[in-house]
Amino acid sequence: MNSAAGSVSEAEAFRAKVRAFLDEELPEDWGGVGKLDHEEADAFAKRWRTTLSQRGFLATSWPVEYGGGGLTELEQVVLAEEFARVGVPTGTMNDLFSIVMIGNTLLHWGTEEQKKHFLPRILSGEDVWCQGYSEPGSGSDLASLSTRAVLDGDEWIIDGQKIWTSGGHLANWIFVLVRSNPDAPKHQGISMLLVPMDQEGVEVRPIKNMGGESDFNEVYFTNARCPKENVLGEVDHGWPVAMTLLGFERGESAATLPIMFRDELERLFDLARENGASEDPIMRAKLADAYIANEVMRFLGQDSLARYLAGHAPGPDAAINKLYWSEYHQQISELAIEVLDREGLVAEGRRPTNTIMFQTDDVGAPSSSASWITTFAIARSGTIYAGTSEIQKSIIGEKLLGLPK
Amino acid sequence: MDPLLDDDQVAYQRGLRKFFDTRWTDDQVRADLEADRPDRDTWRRLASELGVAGLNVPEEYGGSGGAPAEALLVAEEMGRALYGGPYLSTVVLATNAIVLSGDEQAAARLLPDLVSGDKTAALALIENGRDRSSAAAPAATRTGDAWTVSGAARRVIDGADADHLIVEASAPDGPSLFVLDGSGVERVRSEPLDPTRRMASLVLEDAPATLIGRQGQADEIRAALRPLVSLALAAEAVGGASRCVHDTVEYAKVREQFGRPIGSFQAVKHRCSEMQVRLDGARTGVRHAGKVLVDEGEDLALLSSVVKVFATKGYFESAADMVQLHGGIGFTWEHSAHLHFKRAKSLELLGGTHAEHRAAIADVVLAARH
Repeated sequence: MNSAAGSVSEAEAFRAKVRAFLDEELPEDWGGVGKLDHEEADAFAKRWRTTLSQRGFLATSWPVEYGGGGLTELEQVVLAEEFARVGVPTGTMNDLFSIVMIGNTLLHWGTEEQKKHFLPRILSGEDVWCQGYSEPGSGSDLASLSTRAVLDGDEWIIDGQKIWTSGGHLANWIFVLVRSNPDAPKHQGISMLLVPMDQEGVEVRPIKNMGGESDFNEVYFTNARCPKENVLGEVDHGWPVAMTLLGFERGESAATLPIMFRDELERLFDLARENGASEDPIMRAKLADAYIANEVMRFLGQDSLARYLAGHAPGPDAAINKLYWSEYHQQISELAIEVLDREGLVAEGRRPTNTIMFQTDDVGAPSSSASWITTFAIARSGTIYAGTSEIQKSIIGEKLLGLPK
Repeated sequence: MDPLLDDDQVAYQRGLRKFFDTRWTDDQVRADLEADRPDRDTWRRLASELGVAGLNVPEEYGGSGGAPAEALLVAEEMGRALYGGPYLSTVVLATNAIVLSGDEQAAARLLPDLVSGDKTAALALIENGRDRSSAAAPAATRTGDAWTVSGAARRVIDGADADHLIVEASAPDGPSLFVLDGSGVERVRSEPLDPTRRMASLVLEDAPATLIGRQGQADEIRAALRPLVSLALAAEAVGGASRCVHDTVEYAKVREQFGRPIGSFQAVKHRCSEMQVRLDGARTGVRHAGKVLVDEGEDLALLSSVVKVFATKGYFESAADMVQLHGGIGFTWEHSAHLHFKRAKSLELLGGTHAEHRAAIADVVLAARH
């Protein structure tokens, strides 16, 4: 079978190559990042990114001419699958914003100068990005955003506030949606600006999330500046640029989420066997339901992947998947606390290493009460970020079912 | 568009849908459930024109042999059309049981007419579910080379109308399958929960019968049959649920209250979206199972339990939503919502309850690791 996404036989040959690479680069007793303590995990993440970059496995979706892997869509999926299976990341936490989001958006909308300037700096690690979309007054209704940008000679002057900026404290660049024309209708008059954060007018203040971690932030802009040419796409026409992000990583996540969630569920089953919950008839029924829910995620992922590889534009199936896994994860993490029983009262042992765009604890992580308690709290974010469950249901209702607004 | 079907399957699905759209409209559904005897002509045409009865039957007995994914499409389209003809009884239960028995004589004698649609069959298995009946289950007695069966079988799908009756009965060497010769059988129609699917009780008194397969083979056949039945029921649930989503969404677009279509209210819209998510989960599960039936790449028993529970539960929830979102009209006998509501619940009970399937799933996934 061949498709626009690439040939299956070539992708399988590529799988062998990825496996050989992983065999060669990882120690023999490798059991996933979750086996490392936090310090080791940090050190590994940095080293691993360098290795990926040297071997052409970083920014796999980017064309080779910009330093990317130049992989077909099918190969990207294969790579993500193999990495997820052994429990190694495809980049650092902020690479979701740097490589996947803004890198791919630059490739789609950027001028040649912008691509040549920004892309190599992302790969080298010199530029680390975060995303400036949500505002205190603009969450689900993102297009109502009010951060202003005014052109002053050769520079934009930016005033306003962004919020829920994941990884903002680790970034030195931010892609910001601003209102550049206050007189235009709300979806017009928005521009996408590329703004350096290392300046006086930008202040980052951490917010502690309900898991006790401070991985997201408020970002204040007070007379912040960026060069006039740092607009991505056309001035006042940033909305379609902003929406481009939604299509990225679709194939990868359809392939990797079921693997991560299966790994997590196996950990929960291990815990149940270990503490005897697996002998309790009521818990057995609940764990069977968890398995059913997990399998359905795998089925939905296959459908989504097939659509993606057949070259379909991102559609409401992305909303169905996002709604499904985020709701699933809340149920599973609630069940995990129930399985923990009294142990769930106290957080002990290893905690997850990061809670940015959190999905599950690292592959190989121990089934510690601290891991499950953190997961239990952080799983609440999944139904809020990147479009709440309510927004996803409206998308499904309107775009797929054709119900009126 | 369904990315998990190949071109031939899409064409077959289209043919089935066209058949039901013209031959099995809502009026026909009504007429059939009020008729004394089921419509046989539609079944004969389904068998002869679309080959629905021979998809899992070897060619030597008139079948097309080995098209299990297509067989799931048949069940799905029947679910969508609320068709209650003899597919489940004759094909999924009886025909598969005969094929699984490996009894070549029985196969040669019974299958060609079942495949052509000229004859139908019912299969009465001794069920293990809770039942307050004190009637004795069928038991077989051997006199020389001849067998007779006595006892009662209840809730036999198409038991009053089928041309051949196959019953499970206890025998000296264990539970076995028998095809009844015809005499010594009293058939009593039941009033089924699902009015679109006929059921009956069979009271057997020294009914002459012929053994199918080996004595003591019934447990083995039941075990092999179980995933096929589960998946057929799941597929039917997918079809039924897709109809619930479709009809409910169409109604929400045109029914106006407070000067707006009710589908513009999030309370209604979001409920419709949840119906769609359940449907997609069930549909993709049945598609995946169709592949596994062919490539045998996974534990079929486990997978079929997963898909059966999710699909039939989802159908029931969506049918209940359909009643609710249609308001008063959804509570009437005239509207088809109650037919889905009742069929969905009956699909949950047939082929093993959720509790039984959950227990079976837990046995596998929570088994000690070695």
